[in-house]
Formats: sequence, structure tokens, C-alpha cells
Amino acid sequence: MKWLFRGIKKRTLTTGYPAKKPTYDEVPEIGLPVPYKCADFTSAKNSCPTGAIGDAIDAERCIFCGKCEEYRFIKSRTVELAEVKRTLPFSKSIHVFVADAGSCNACNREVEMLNNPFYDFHRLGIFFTPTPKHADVLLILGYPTERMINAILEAYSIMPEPKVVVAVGTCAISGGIFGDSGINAYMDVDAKIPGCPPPPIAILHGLLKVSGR
Amino acid sequence: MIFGEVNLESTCNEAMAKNDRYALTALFNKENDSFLVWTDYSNGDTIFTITNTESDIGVFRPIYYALSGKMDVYKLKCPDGVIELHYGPLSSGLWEAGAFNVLTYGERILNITPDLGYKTRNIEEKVIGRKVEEALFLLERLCGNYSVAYSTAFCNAIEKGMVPDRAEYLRHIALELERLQNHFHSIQRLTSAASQKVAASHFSALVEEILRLNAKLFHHRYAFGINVPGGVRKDIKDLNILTKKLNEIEKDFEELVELLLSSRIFIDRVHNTAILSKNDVLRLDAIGIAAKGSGVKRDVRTFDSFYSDVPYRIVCKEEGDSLARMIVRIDEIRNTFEVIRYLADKIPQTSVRYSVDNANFDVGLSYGRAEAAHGDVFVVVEIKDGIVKWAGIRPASLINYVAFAHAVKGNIFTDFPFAIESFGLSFADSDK
Repeated sequence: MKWLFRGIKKRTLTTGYPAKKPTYDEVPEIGLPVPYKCADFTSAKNSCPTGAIGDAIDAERCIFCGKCEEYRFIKSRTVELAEVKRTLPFSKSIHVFVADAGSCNACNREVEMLNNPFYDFHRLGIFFTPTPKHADVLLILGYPTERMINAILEAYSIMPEPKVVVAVGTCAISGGIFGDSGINAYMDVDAKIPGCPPPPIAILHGLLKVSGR
Repeated sequence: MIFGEVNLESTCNEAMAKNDRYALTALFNKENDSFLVWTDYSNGDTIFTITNTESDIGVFRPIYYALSGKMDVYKLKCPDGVIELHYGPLSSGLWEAGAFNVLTYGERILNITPDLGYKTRNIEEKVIGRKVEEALFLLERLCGNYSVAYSTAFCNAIEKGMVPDRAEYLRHIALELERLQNHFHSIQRLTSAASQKVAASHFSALVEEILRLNAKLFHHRYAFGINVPGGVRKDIKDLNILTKKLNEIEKDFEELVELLLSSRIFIDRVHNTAILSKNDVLRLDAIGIAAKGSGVKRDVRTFDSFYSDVPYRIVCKEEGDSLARMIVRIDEIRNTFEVIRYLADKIPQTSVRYSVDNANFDVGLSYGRAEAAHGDVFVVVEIKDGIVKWAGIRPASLINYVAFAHAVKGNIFTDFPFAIESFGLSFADSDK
């Protein structure tokens, strides 16, 4: 009973996203860096540990380390960077199987955070499933290691059609700081959610986009 | 900050292994020699001894096998009527890629061995030949939720105390926030394992509050990239937002703990689950939460010069079960609020970064360590002209997995999540 009153006292914590834009509390300056006044492009380009800075900043290689902030770049509030090539043919409810390919645990935590009252992804019809046989989306986290890749390919092969592969985080997309290629070296990636790690809002945005919303 | 140079001694390893004062901390293989690290946790005395691979220290110190990568030694032969089970690596129950070899009659766990190495990213090899700053980025991504502990240990090793005071304070504020976040998360996992969905949601909300606080202060939800050689990357002008938010979180937390500890159903699940006795801790050289829950004070903050004025206290419980480890976490959380408030109050107004020329970084073989939420992390590095020549990392999970495997023996299957979550272990951490 006390728990109930406590819950009522706390009022609604859940974000207004996607109907409303994310608030400053949800997404402060943690997004993709942008050049500020008189940004030193050449130095930033040379010092970027993953080579993400070219003529523009490549979100798929950026590890959000903050190194370029020394050359007058600043982090923006843009985190909705997901890129989707193929969407699912249904949009009301999607089931997600989370496959860890060798992440640093930060992406795992952010995916897990979708479950908390602040994001409450069940209200949007997104669910985790413990088995790939019920899954529509294969969510891949982290830099793929030798021992995990077979397990992931097997999980993908037993998923029913239609199915999409979503790479979450820079390591899974491009290898980030660990290497030159991510999961795309082993299988076709249908959607990418950049970030290191992508905040829950970014993952929500990506999953909604995958379901065609 | 704890740092020092590595002086290899050729003391008899067997004599060290028989000496109860020293805990076996790490084993590193550098080119052709290997050396063992021994720590006296009461005064911070650290000894490095050369070892040859033939010597059998594992007889006295079973943790030696885990450190040298021979996890198979802990396996038992499968007797008749016993099921051998390989649980993992893609299992939703663990949230991570990792596996366990389990021997069971069907209900009781007879023996368990973690099958490490699914997430091996070879970070120790990848940092070789990198610039110091880039090595830090790699080290932070060894285990994301303990990133500040790793980068602080690495910075301690290479800076040798040459760091502005304000940077030191900011660094430890980040470290303590990380401790809060991980302790909340661990309690949340325990409650959700007991199907206390409401309590789990409330604690999960506390984790999110800390992450949001991190995002506002450090512009990264897990405080990646705050540490640089010679200080911190950016100053934080306004620390009021930190103390204000912490007061709110503390109030919430106290209310929640009162409710949680009065829930008999929950307490029954964690009470007497996965007992690790004091002797086991000493025999298996367990560290951090595992040791503190069994009445052994092993916390590197005891001999950390930075903490000498800080009002921290090391909490110990004698019982050694999951409940004791949870109570230790709760008390540590309470203490951490005090510590952060003290740091935010006493923070000096100096610069936050010495302009060190990264290209001229020259460091002989030296070590640094820091206390993460689950135990202490140990980093040894050698740097020449700003390029990492060699690095050795000893994560806390590697050692505590053995303690966990011992503690969970004889428990039933449904107790498994309560055992593993109370230790706060991570495969990303142990696999490097």
C-alpha cells in the first residue's frame, strides 16, 4: 500500500517523446559534435581518434569522446541520428531480441534503461523477447568478437520473416575505436543507431523508425 | 591517488603465498617474464615478484588459475546422475554475452564455472602503439559502467601526482557518482529478480537520475572522456545543480530503502543466499563488495592519499550472504552522498588541466589503481615518447567471479540471479 502511495506521489515521470521533443533534462548537450565559431577543422581532423571528422562529422564513426571540443567544436543536442534502410511491414507492436556481440556494457545499460518509468517503451508497443524465435528485430550491441559471431548468425537464422537487423552504437556500426568494421562485415545491417552509447531517446527513435512510425 | 613504480623482486613466491597479510592481486605476462602482484590491503604495501610458469602457487592461492586464464581447473568431473549444462552465451537472463558451465542434480547447483572469453576484445594488445590519450578512450570502453575507475587508475599511473587539485576533485566526484549509479543498479537487479516490479522501477528511476546528472555535468551519460593525461577535459562551473539533485535523490532513496527493508518477501529471498565466509574471502583473495560483505576490509581508498581528509567510511558486514552485500551497498550509498557533498563543498579554485606535452610522455613501468563499485581495478603501463609500449589490466570481476562461483555452490537454481547480482559482476569487465 505504501508503495502505491509513493508511486502516486511521484506523479508521471514518463517522457512525452515521441509526441513532444525531448526536454533538456532528457537530452542535454550529449549529441553529435558541431563546429562552433572559428572551429579549427584541420587540427580536429588530425586528432580525431576514429577519423570521424571529414568535411562533415560522420555520426557512424564518432565515439563522442569530446576530443574535438578542444578545437572549438561543441556537442549538440541532436541524438536522433538513426538511419533506416528497411522497415518492418507492421507498426503497432514489435518484439526485440537483444544480442550482445561484445559491447562494453554501456549499450546494454542504455537498452535496459528503456524499461524504466522515464521511457517506458511498452507504451509504444515495443517489447523485449527472451528468444529469437519470437523476434522481429535483432538488436546488435558492441564490437563483434570472434566467439560471439557464430551465436549471433545462428540467432538471426532462426528468426521468422520478416526480420530486420539493427546495429546499436558506434562499435557495432563501424567498429569505432576497436577496428575498421562492425557487424556489417558478417551480415546485412538494415538500420543503424549511432552513439557511444546512444541514449535511450536515440534508441527509441531508431526502433520507432524501424517500425515505420 | 594511488600510484607507484614497479620494482620487480625475486622473493620466494611460495613464502609470499603462505603469508596471510598479502592478497594475490594480479598476474601479468610481459614479453618473456611474468610477475605477480601482492597487496597488503591494510597499508597499501604492493610487492611485485618475478615468477616462472612452472611454480605452483595455485595450491596455496586458487585465484592464480583464474589470473593465468586456466578457468578449467575449477571444473569438476561430472558424476553419474548429474546434468552438465552450458548456460549462455546469448541468454536474456544475463543481459550480457557470457556463459556458465553448471553441474546440477536438477535443482541444486553442484558446481559452477564461468566460461570467460566470449567478449574478449584484446584491449591490452590494442592499446600498444597508441597515443596516451587514445589508450584512455580504449580503456574507458573496457567496461562502460566502470569507465571512470579505469581511466582514473590509468591516469594515476602515468601522472604520478602531477595533476591540479580541482581536476582531482572533479575526477573523484565522477568516480563517486559512478559508484552511486552501479549500487542503485545492483539493488534494482536484485529487486527485479525477486519480481518486486514496483521497487525495481523506482530504483531504475534512481539510476536514470544519476545518468542524467552525469549528462548535464560531464556531457556524457557514463562520463566517458572526462579524464585526460594531466587533469580533466572540461571544468564544471556550477556545482549547485549537483548538490541540489543529490539532495532530492537522497530523500527518495531513504524512503525506498525503508520500504524495501520492511518487505519480508524480498528479504527472505536474499537472506542466507550465496554465503561467502570470511575464510573463503581470504583463501580466494576476493576484493571489493564480496570481501566487505564478509567482514574483510578490502578497499583501496584506505590507503589513498586523496581520501585522507574525505569523510568516507568503509562498511563491513559479517554475514557474507546476498543480504549483507546489499546492506553494504546501501550504507555505501549513504556515505557516498556525504562524500560528494564534501567534495563539492571543498573543491579548490585552480586550473583543471596542466598543459602536458603528450608526445614527450615518458613513464617507466608503473602502476595505478582506483576503487570501482565492485572492487579495485589495477593498471600497469609503460610509456615511451607518448606511445604506450605495454599495458596490463586486472579487472575486479575476474577475481570476484571465482568468489561468486564458490558462494553459489549448494544453492538452488532460483537463487542464482540473487547471487550474481549481489556481486555486481560483468563479463565485459572480466573478458577485457
